[in-house]
Amino acid sequence: MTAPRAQSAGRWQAPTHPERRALPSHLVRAAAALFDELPALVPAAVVDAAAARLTAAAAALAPEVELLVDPFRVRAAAACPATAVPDPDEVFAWTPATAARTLGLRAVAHHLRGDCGATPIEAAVDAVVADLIADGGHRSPGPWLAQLAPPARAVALAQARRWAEQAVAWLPLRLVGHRELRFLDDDWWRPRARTSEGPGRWLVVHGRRDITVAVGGRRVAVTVAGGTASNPGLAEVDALTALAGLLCDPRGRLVRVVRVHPASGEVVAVDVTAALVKRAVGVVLATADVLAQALPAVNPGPGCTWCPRRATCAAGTAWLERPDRRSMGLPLLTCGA
Amino acid sequence: MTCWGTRSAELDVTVGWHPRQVIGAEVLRVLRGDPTCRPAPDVALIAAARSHLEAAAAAWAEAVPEGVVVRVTKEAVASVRRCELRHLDGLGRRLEPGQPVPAVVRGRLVDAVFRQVATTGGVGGDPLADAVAACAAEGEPVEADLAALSEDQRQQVRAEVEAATATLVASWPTLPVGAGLRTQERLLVALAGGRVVLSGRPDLAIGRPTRHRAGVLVCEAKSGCFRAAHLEDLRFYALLEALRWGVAPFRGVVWSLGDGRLEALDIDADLLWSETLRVADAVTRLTRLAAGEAPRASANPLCPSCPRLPGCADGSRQVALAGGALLDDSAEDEDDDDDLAELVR
Repeated sequence: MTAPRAQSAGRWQAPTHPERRALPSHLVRAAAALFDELPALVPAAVVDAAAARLTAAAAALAPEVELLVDPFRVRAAAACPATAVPDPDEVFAWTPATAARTLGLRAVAHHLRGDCGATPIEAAVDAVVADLIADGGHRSPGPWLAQLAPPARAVALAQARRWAEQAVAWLPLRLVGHRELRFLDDDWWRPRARTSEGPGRWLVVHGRRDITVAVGGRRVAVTVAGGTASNPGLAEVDALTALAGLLCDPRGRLVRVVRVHPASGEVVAVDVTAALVKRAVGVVLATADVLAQALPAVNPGPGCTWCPRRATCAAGTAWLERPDRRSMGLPLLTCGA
Repeated sequence: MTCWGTRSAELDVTVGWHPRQVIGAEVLRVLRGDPTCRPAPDVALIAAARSHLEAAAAAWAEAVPEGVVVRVTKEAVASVRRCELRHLDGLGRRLEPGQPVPAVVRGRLVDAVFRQVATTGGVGGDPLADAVAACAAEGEPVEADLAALSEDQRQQVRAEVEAATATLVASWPTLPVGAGLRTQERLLVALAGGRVVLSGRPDLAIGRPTRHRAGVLVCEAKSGCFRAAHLEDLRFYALLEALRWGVAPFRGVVWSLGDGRLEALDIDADLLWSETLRVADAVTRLTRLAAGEAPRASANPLCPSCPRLPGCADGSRQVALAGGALLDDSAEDEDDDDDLAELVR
């Protein structure tokens, strides 16, 4: 059980910062989401109850089952359950797109840490890439970057710079001391002890925080997302981020999840409350149910257009070739097009 | 309100292969414009533009089937306003496998080169190979299209890519440190609760707005010669940027590497509002089509090459008026027969 913690009394007021008054309008919105009217901490009992429910769900799993509930699978399970189930032949490989987040966020940290003023983003990305290549490592993009030909490395650099520029442009990180910022935190939670029913049953909850801002004694998790705020499944991912952050922090200091969409300029702030935690547990259990199915349902829809499994999915292909798509003003797509 | 219009930046400086090439300092001058004249944020205008677009989207959004997102791109805006019938026909044909067009292949390769030059300042000894590798790294391989071209076409594409690369490397300026350079940045504006999405991806965006004035420049590199439609692209991007930041960009620049023209478009309130009206019209048309309504044909200069021409009365009339192919009487409305016959004579 987690230790009891002090409850916040009343609403916390953001400190007045002289620079905040000089911010452009898009950063004023982001600053409000980060600092203003932060809610009280979620009671420890709520988090304990959530952990207990998830532990019980893990115990009910079939032996030798390991389920990973992460942001991708939460969104996939809601859209098309078949795509949420991991492909056994799938091997992770770095690409400019997947490396952009890691490189970009490290570059932002480097940019803000500059002792003699901010390091320019371009220089920060170059420095981060050089460090990663020098350090190597199994889970680092360094070895992948090292073997890239110049054109491919230029593409990776361009995407990382864009990522970092967007993060700096859309988040008022200069208002926060660099000691109060953390980058690239992953929350991995699993039941504290293996269940007595069998040694191989795991339910792993994975949340991703791009940036964590310490505001007083509380934490605000920031994620930088593509697309627009109206994309389906993002609210569930926010709930998952909040739940994983609370479960992995014994002091339960996460009070808000802020999602920034640089492409559309939207900023979405979700307060972490008891209701959100309860909903997040439901999301995790629903996703786990989908992942545990031997034959998950196929739910074709607009996502089929970009689905990597389209070539082998008859339902998705049929949906994309539907004649009435033409009357909708959507392009007709054929498998493999 | 002042209408700045377009401003040509053709220079007589001759460097390298191209007779009208511009040099780095002059390019930088055009990119910057006049820093003292950058407009202040016009909150009321941006709010009015957004509400106008929302109203345009709302007219038919409810009738759009569940799960369908109407994506409004610069191509869709131009195409659907030209002729809804042809636009719908083109959607069906767009992704059908076919013979690649050399100009399109060249455009993708030059875009990749431009991105590399803007990011790293140069390219390797073989620009074509670099561009092909860059496209593959971006997940948009171009090798198959290149291989499908004839040998002559391939050599022509190679020559054009190399020429464009030479121009870019010789002319692209060294930008100030911390310029905030973003290549191929996606711009999205969600309308009607996300049922309609305006979408664009300019080649290059530089800077970010401050509290008191616009600070973003949008730059497009074109592999071919300058066309007026390129300025429409800039206007579309300017509107998207304005809706996203809450501040319009101060300038858009299109660099046509085919003829060395560097055209700048200063963004002001008039331009932004006229673009709002144009895009709102397209949004209404696209959502109406997505809702399943019948497309309307409109006569336009592209009618002679339209695959739907034989059954299209408006198109046939357009062709006849333009002195093109002979009028097909069976395709015309009876009421118009006499007038058209007179016109043809």
